[in-house]
Amino acid sequence: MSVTHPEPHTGMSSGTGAGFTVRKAGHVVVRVKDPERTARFFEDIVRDIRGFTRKGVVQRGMHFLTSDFADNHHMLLIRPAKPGATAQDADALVGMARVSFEITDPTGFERVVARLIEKGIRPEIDAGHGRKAVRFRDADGLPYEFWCRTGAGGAP
Amino acid sequence: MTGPALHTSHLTLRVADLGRSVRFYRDVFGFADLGTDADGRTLLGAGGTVMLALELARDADAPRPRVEPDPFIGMEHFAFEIAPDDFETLRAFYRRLKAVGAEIHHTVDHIVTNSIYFLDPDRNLIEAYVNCPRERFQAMEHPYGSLESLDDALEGKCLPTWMREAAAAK
Repeated sequence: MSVTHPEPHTGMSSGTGAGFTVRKAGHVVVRVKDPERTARFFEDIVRDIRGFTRKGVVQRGMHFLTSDFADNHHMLLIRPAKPGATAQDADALVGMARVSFEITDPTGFERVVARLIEKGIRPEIDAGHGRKAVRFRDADGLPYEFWCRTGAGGAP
Repeated sequence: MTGPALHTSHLTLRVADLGRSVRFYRDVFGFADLGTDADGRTLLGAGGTVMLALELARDADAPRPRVEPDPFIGMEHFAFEIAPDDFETLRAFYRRLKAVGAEIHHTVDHIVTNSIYFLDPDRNLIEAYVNCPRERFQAMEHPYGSLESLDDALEGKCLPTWMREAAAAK
């Protein structure tokens, strides 16, 4: 993938020769009140995605979801929060503000947006610069984004 | 099978000190600075692919994320695959983390992956991992089961499980 940038480059230096190249962003792990509810939510909104599956529920009630098991054994790991856990407000934190997933075509993206709306979620749509993104929160208030390329040079 | 595909794209971090975080991720992962996006976020990544977006927090003193073993509802950690089935790369990465003074939280021999969990300057929990060979994990019924420490293997005292099993099978 090549990335184009609509804004000026910061001028900061590039990578320092780590001796390896990070292959990919792999997965996010979330702690939620009700893992089954969260897993069903994602299964519902991306059910048209090629190969999307819940791989299995194994020890301690963890749910592993992926759409490309051959290359990425999980994209989203949903774990139960510990008893007494309270929510962290992502907007108020220094920390993880959002996790993003790319959908490879605009039609699939629009289906996800429609499913979010069907579920009563009012997603935030951000379009322009060759891409379109939808931002939303799940039942636990965790922030996610799906995005797709809509034109040449589209990038996150 | 037809239909759109989906893949993990990137993580957006809200950081207290932009320069510090850029330096950390550049030094640890070798990420390149890929510029800024329309929202003013600093984009970092590898091979021209954005994997991390950094935005400056309005309040640098805002609460930091809670980290295991504290109980919380929220995002626990985010993971990057640093190399396919190359444990020596993970060992080199382990040495790099120590060299830059990163706080290593724990390590795990998941068998399907070998993982190092560490804290970034804002105490976000980040995982760096290498997979076992794909033909091995694709054949596993439940590839996510083990939670044994990887410390000894990273220190060169032994091999990770998948490499021991592969050696025994020869």
